[in-house]
Amino acid sequence: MYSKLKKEMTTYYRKMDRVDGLELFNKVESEKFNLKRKAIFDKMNEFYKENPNVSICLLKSKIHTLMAESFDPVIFKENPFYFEMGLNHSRSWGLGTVMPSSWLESVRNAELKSKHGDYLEAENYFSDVFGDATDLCSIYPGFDTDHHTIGYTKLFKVGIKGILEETNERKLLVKEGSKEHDFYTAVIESLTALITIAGKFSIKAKELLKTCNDETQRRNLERIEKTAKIIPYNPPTTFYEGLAMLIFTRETFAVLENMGISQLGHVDRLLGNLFQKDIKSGEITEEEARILISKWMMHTDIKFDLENNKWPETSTCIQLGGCDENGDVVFNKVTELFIEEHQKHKLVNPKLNCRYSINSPDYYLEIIGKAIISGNNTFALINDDVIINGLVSSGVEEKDARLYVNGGCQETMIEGFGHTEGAGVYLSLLRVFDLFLRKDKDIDVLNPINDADTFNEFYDKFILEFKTLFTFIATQRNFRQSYYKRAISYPLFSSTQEGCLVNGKDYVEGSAKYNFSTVALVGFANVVDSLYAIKTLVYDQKRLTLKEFLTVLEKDWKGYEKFNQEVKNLPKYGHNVKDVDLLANGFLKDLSKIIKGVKNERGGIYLPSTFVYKYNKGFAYMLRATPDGRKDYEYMAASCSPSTLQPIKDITEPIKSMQTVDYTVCGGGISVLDVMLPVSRGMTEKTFSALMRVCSKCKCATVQPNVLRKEELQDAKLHPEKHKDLIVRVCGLSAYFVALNEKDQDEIINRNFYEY
Amino acid sequence: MDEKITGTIFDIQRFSLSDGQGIRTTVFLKGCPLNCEWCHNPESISKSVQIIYHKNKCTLCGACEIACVNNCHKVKNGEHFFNSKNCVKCNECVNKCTYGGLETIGKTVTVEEIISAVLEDLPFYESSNGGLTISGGEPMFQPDFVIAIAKMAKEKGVHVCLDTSGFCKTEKLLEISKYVDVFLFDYKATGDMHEKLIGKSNELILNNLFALDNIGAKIIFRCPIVPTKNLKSEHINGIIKTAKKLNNLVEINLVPYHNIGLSKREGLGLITPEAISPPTIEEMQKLAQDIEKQTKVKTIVV
Repeated sequence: MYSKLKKEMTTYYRKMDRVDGLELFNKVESEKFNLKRKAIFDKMNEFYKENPNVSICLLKSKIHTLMAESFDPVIFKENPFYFEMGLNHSRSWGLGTVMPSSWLESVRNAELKSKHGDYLEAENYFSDVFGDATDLCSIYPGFDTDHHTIGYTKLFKVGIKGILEETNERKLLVKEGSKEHDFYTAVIESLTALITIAGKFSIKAKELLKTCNDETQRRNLERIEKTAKIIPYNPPTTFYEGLAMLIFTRETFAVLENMGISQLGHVDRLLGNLFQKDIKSGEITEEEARILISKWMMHTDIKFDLENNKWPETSTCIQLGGCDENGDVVFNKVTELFIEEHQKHKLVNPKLNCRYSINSPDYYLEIIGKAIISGNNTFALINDDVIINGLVSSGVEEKDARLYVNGGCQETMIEGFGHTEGAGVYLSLLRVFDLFLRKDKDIDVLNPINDADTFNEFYDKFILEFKTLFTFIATQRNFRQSYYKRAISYPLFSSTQEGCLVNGKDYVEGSAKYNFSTVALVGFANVVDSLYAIKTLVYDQKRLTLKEFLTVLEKDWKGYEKFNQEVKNLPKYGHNVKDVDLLANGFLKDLSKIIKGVKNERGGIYLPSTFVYKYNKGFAYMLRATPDGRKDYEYMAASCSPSTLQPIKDITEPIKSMQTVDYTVCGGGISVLDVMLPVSRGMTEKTFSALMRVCSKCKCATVQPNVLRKEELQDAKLHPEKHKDLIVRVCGLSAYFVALNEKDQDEIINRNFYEY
Repeated sequence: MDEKITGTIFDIQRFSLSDGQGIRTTVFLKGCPLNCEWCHNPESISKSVQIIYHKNKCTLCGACEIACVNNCHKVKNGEHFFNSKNCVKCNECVNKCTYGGLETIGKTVTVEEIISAVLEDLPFYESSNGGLTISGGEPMFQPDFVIAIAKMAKEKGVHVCLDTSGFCKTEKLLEISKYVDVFLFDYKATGDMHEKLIGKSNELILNNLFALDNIGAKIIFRCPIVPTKNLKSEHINGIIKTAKKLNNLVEINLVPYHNIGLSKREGLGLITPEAISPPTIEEMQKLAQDIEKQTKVKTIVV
């Protein structure tokens, strides 16, 4: 049953593949695709020429209209769902520049640059100050166009129909020609395009039915023909319609908006009642539901050709568990079915982001444990108590915060309430500290330490310099963003986010209810350990002066190997050593205060996180030795995990440390603890559940578990052919271990494996 | 004052998953009256503090050689030689070793210190029905110390397992049974084989086993399975026969031999016996099935 589906979809997507990382297409598909794109680009150029002063949102809705008119639906007869517009390369989840919808960014951005000297000045100013800043920060050139979630809850309540009705009503209340009027017009046009697109799937299915004799395929086509007429227009009334709503809107919004929609939805919360109703009425059997779920989930793995991709990132996640807006626990049969089917088919994607809390049922944690122990290392467990309390401390209403989801990797999003820009800025905190110690860049916004009589004085000076530097970076970024937002508009996405319709503006204008941007602080543990080393050796023990210490670093510890080991032996963050963990706690609090004190261009605030994605390696390749004992270019610690400079014997240590370091100060920004657990008889689903229960009690941030044999990883590196199915959760993404490059494989092998 | 009683331990292992139910903290007491050739914790045998050398961590820096006034350490021709004969356990060499190549095995602690360390893991016990396991060495070799630990742990509401060879005074074993929830009772060899392999008759051990059974103490058998030594039909039959006689045996654990003890012996400067090939997983599982079938007692490989 599934092999036919895989074959049909694989054949299509491999034709649409890119080669060697370049967005190249199979010649036949390429010509076809390019012709379509060119036709839309030509029409847009013409339209823009005729209407040079048209609002940016109307340009976007015009593209949507043209895409809806010109696309040819791709229906997989073996698949009961409809979603493929054929206007995207196979390995995209919405990001990229080849889609017709990218016209807006490419044309308008270039135009803005040529017309607005101050925009260029802003761009250049940043590089003038920092030079090549790739060692210091990675700032998305524009908005973080990934890590979005559609307001699925709203779609499930009112459908596109409800949003259209609300928009039409609001349009009547504003003046024609006003910005708000244009926005409402754009939303109506874009939503109409969306309904046209769904309708075309229905027509196509009807055509295919004429020549289709296969019973399963006919059933699928009949379903599509019938359902595409009503979904997404109406809210779903059956379990199947709910699944159809999620996958159709996720895929089409991504292509139409040129936007990464990382979340396929908080599926058990959204679908639980529909499933129950259908089972009760006999509309569906559990077995049928399992098949639908499996086919719905298989889509991502088939598209992305994971075995042959050295960085098999998909961004795609589903959310499970946690609670609903009323705080009631979400755990139902749908939760179970998704986990079990994911495990049964050994899927790598969608990644399973599971919310948990003190209230989570044991059985929920046990089935997660069972899946992970079986080798399904595709989970992250996100602690509701840390994220919800964090968001509330950042000004989010509790009922809204309870609807958070995580996507891309584990970036927090408040579903239906705006965009949190989970990966807008990656800042190498360790490089900032390095510049403070040994400034080697000619920049005005950071002064190096000359001297300090006490550690407190040293620390205060660093905090002050961090504040100056961060404020500068954020201000410059805001300045650039204020121009960049003139080049983008997301009427579809915005229409599902609370606040945007009320205010009559796109979310990039700051109209959503919440408007956060997130700053990922890379190398947090290394800076804490470095601070502790300086405090101990320079100030407490007076073993050497700061200047002498810096000389050692200058030589990359060469000639000081024994001293290097002594520094590595010093107490480290995450080892349940109170002094260091308290230092970490105070430090995070101070950083958080600074970061949350700066507003972004949308009027929201910046949130800190210790999330690293893969920058703990990327930044490290450009960073020399640091006082924690780290040598030139050695990897930094991953997120809130302790560094690997000193091995940790047992898992209780970092978990206990989490009790001391309050990650709610990140205000919802994510922190991930990598937990490598060896396979053993004692590691049962009950043990896993108990472990997570303690993590919950200890206010542990997000846990990214892998249950693996280290020896198996080592063997897989040498004999990949024997370990083709070995799945690992890497850094927010899940992948076949053997498909990773050697460096990434080594990084995983060298993580702290806990003993028991 | 029980909490002030002191004793010698050599490790506290947290998140221990194979020494009783749930997630446990295992406290290893130093000193054992037996001398099993296959012992995987040879550092536990001597009651005294010892110094162990870890070859894999040593960088041959020579700091230990300079630190030692008794010439116990020599670094020559790219090799480290450790002669523990003259060692007075002053720890100077360990303190000077930056790389963890030398380690002191054993420290004197109070019962209070132990309990305080154990209680740190209370959330893990609560979530998993786990608790404290007292192991060794032979924990009953320090009877007053181990009784005080078990008593105080029990007072704090912690589930207690005692991992014992049973080679101890019966009255002490009965005394501690008031504070122990489950005994992990070793069953190492049967009949004459016991004296031959371990150097002591198992008469006292069996008496103690039945004494515990008679008072209704919960018992888990811990049976080391050592190919060429005790992996023989007479011993397997012995396990089955003895198990059948017990009324309160709740589980049988088969502990496959592993050779980690060899490198530790080498590091301690002890005579290293010939290596034994560990039994295969399949062999162990088959054995467990056979024993379970005959005894009707849950039998697992740990």
